Amino acid sequence: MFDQQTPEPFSRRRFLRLAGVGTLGTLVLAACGQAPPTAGPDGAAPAGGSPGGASAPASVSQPFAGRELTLFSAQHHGAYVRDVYVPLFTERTGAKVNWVEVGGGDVEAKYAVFVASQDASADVLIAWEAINAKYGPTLFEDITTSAKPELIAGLTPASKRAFTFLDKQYGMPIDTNMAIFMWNSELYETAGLDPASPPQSWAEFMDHSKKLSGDGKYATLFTLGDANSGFVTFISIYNSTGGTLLSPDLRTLTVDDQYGLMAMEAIHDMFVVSKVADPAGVTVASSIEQGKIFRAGNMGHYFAFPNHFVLAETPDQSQIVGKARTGIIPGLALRSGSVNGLEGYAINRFSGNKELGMAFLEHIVSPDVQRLVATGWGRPPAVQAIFDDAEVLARAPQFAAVKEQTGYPSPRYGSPYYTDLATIFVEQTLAVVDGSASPQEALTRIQADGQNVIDDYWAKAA
Amino acid sequence: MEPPCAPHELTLPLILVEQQTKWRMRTTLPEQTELRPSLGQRLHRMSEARFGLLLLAPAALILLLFLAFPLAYAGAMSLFRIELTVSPDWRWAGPGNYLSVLGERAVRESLARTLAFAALTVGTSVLLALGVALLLNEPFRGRGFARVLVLLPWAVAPVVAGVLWRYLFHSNYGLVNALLLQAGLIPAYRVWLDSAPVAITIAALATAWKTLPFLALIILARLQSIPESLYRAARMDGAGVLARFRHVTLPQLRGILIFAVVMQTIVALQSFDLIFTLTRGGPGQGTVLLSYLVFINAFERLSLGQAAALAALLALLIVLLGGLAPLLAAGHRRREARNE
Repeated sequence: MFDQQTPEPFSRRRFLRLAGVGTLGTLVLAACGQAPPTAGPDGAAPAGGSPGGASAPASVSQPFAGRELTLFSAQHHGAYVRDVYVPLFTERTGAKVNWVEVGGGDVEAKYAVFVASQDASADVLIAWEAINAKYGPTLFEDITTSAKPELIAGLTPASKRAFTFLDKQYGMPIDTNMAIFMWNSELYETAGLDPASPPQSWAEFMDHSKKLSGDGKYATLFTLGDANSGFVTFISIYNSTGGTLLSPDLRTLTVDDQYGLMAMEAIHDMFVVSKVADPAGVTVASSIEQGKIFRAGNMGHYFAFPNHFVLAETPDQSQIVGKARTGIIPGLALRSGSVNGLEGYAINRFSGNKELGMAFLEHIVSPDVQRLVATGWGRPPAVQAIFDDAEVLARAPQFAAVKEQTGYPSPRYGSPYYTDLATIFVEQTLAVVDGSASPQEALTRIQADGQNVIDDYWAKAA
Repeated sequence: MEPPCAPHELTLPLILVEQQTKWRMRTTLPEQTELRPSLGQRLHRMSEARFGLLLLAPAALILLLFLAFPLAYAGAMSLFRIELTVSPDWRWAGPGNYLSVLGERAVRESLARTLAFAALTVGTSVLLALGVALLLNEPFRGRGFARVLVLLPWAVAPVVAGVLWRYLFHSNYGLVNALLLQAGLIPAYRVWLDSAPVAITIAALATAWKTLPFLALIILARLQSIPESLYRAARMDGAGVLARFRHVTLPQLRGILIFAVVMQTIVALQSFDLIFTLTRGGPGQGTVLLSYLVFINAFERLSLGQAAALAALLALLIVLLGGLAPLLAAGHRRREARNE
């Protein structure tokens, strides 16, 4: 290719011949490749099929037989929602479900396109607290009056709150996912700590952490890799101070007070003074990555989502099988506090298929699906009654901690200006972590810049 | 005086001529059909310019469809306030979005960061590409294989390159940490991407690694077209390796190096996918380049009007810097002409 050789002349006749052959080949391939559309995404079974593989026959017990529902979800819901709950929905209703999925981090970008183009191609959309607040008014259907009141009443308080924005219900939760405390009993023993006695307060947490750190190892890891993960880290600590970050009308930020200072000083202590938090957290943007480090046996304890316990007990996912323990997060001023990672589904307000969409929302909070969420997926159920189910608690021991954890604050502070606010928070938290700002300086800037962002939003909204 | 032709005398030759013509038509028509050029022949006889235009036509049509319309649409969007967190409606903003974007601290910081990233990427990639091209121009055993090997990064998708480099510099299981630790150069694994200057340097290196093959290829092509007689003459004048490089190779490469610099500047200004997978703009906003800021404005802040305005400004910057190539080349030609 590079040698100075005389190439064979590439005549126009030859070009046309090649182009002709290429076109013919493409047409032949296209004709051969037109397989009947039976396979689902990633070669999965047809989305409309039942778990057994055969479609349920249409009958009077299947009120939506012959109808189709398009579900837009995220990849991490594939193994449970797509493969288990959707086939069950099809079996019950007779409706065929078309499954569309993207990476969890790409959901927002896709929703921006949905709103901009008023896209009705998907009927039901995956949602969580931050998304609800951001897209509730413009993309999601308000189901405050259309949803069955008994279903809403049966939800856990945290899950209900996560799907409510300014007193409007924008979807149904599928779980009450919230961070709990998880520790490695083996590392505790090695550090001379009692694996049966997790820290009961922040002071104990720091004491344990110091014993778990050293020789290039860190006791814990908090994510600061991007705006969302950094904000979640701050909130997970702040929520145990007893403070309230945003006023209920979402117009006032109150972070520059004793509660904010308590949280920011705790971060400063962990990263800068006591050096118990892994500095790699600055580059980690997801709890999934955080969980992998714990499961590799490199971390003593952390604030974990409950399904991480299931992963820690799975041999091909974990090097610490049988060593993970769960409890509630040690708090700063309160006994505990957490942050929610609740997920669920909402109806696309541009959809022409809202009745079927509502049927799907009712399906995900039905008792049997909720039991599957708890026992199969390992996520805390969204329905309070399932939490109290002895069989569920027996099969998922981590839920005892979750149940206790739900008694403490866990707001995510979702808002329409979430991204801007989270960006300010993580920038200033990083300034504290790298020593370029004191906790108080950081809070002063967050308060000023954050309130500007909020005021700007409401000015635009007006 | 001869009598005028009798009518029959005049008619006869006419009839003959007519018959001859008919006969000729009958006999020549098939010949003419054969001579009528086929599509292939007509293409073959077409002028170079027309044939070139014909080949360009499908691509031009596609570009018109898929570029001109979106560009015009984005231009229109930049003049409206579109805040999807508030409403999907478009409200007239005029130059408001441009003024707002230019007044933002994040944009100014990002512009400075983008230019620094571009300078770092261009410097690294062009110098490395020149070195690689010079090396590959020399005969050595396995040169063919080395040339193929050098091309490999070019075949890697930017997203894959980002993930690859992220894992190379991963703080817990990165290859760089493992190698440096084993070589005794670091006492323990360290976090590479936690400081903005280091992260941006790694991002620039990754971009340079990705685009180096293309630059090396075009420089190599130019190197191979330098007449050997110039080197012979230089050698006869007693020029050593460095002198030959300075007085023969470099002047001959000047044009292509200018082209490479401009191309690489454009690539650097457009960088998004590699940064997205490598650092996601972090730490903090440390690697948020202008193109990434467009993404944040559009898909995270949902301010489509501002995103369009920022994209338009970025496009303008790229066009301005891209336009430097012909200007620099023209200046170079004028200087050469004056010297001659």
